[in-house]
Amino acid sequence: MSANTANLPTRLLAGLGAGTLLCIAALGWVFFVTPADENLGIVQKIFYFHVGTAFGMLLCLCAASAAALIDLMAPNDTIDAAGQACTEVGMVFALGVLTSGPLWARKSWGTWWTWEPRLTLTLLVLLIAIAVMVLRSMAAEAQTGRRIGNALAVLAAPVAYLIHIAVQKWGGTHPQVIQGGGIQSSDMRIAFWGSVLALLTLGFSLVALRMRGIRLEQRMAHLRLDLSALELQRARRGVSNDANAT
Amino acid sequence: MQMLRRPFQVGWAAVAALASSPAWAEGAAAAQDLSRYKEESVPGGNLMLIAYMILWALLGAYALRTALRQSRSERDLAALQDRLDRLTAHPEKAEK
Repeated sequence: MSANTANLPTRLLAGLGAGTLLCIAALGWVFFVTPADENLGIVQKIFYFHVGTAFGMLLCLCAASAAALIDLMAPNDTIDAAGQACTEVGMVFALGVLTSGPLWARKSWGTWWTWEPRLTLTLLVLLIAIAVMVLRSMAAEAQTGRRIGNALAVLAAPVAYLIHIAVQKWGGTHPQVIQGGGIQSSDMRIAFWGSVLALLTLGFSLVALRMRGIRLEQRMAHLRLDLSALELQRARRGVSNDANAT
Repeated sequence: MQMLRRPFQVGWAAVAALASSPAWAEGAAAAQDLSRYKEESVPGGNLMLIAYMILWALLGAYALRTALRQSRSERDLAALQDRLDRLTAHPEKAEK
């Protein structure tokens, strides 16, 4: 194993530790320093991590889409591992967005779910990520699964863009807090950007961690192939030796 | 045209009579009465706690699963590499 790979777990642990510490600090700021919203009350505190998770989801799925496109044009195991890791972490973030969002909506909109453009598109992008993972894991031939999965993963970036512009383009009940310049209090601004930074750091570390795992699995697959080839070669040699002896 | 005007006048008179009746007035008053719609109280604190718990449980479970899977892969990879090394270096021993 190269020195670079051997150093990776330490760097990964440092990244995960930094992400966790930043998240704890952001949580502390959100709960103990930031005032509750005058209209929505304490439930508004979901906003800080809900939007951070949504940013993470959009970034991961756009990166997964770009990696899938590159891998379709010029297959490369490292790029493929990055794409797979981004899809998985993006899916986890999407699940976070789609569970924290309805809990907030229940209080502020009076309903758990509405089929408004941004929500529907977020559900669509989650379904795309799940479909990519299912396709890749269930394909009879790994290379075919990889190609079809990548072709599907490419769709995630346009959908992510549509999620970003959905409220401006088609309206809906979703508030436009960031684009509308709605965070007035400086404590709230620190809590918001701190949470975004913490979640993105954690997300990046998770992508790196998962990517390393996928690279190990790829290496294992190559070694298994080598081992099978070697065993087959030995078996053939054994057969020919027996033939010569008789 | 004359033939159409007559039924229209009769219909209009019927609607006017219905609208001026006490039953119509009661129905309208009932529709205006919004007291039966009670203000719903949604516990925001609980919703916020559930949201945070789910979010951290999701991220924690994913990180733990990834780390465990990776350590298993590392073990398997080491075993596989060891087997391959033995097979290429000492084919007789590896056979045993």
